[in-house]
Amino acid sequence: MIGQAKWFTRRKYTGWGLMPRTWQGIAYVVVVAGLIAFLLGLQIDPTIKLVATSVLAILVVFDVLSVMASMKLDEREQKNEAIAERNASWVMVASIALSILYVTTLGKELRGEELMPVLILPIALGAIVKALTHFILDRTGV
Amino acid sequence: MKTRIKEFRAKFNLTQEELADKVGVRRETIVFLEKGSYNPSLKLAHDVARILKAKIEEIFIL
Repeated sequence: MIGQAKWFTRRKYTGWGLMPRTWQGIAYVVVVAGLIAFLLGLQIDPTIKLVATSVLAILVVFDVLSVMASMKLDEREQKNEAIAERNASWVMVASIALSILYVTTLGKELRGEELMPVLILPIALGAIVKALTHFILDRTGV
Repeated sequence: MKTRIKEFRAKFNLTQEELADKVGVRRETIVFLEKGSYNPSLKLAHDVARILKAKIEEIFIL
């Protein structure tokens, strides 16, 4: 594990994952983004580039998950997180179902960019509901 | 739920942060407990009472 829990804070109002909390966290994000940009900018065989970028992305995801796992939440935070995730999940499932229904009624196959709103909408709605739930719980308690 | 955490905390001259550290929760959780807007688990209530050297029913009033 390269990143450390004290460098980051869990995202509550801006989706999922981690947010830098200290300068080390910011440096971590800058270095990772820089490495990915550097790899993508290299004039090398596309297959090697794809493999290298994928390996780096997998390492970063693993590192972020390790950092998240090592972050200790107290019982109130765990409860709030669980309620927020449950609400977000329900909204995402509902919006995926509605999106599928919408695509089905269109009667044509969506490709490429046409498909983006259908993919992004559930994630965006889930993030909004998660943030709202956290906001309400942080103001009122449980 | 009403609590007497603040009163007992003052008796032991503990800040919210210090009590939170001793109990193993965040300061915000102590704030919510003192305001009575969070119902703790039995374990947390027990831990708070133990640190404040009181019975659970003395700290948490239904």
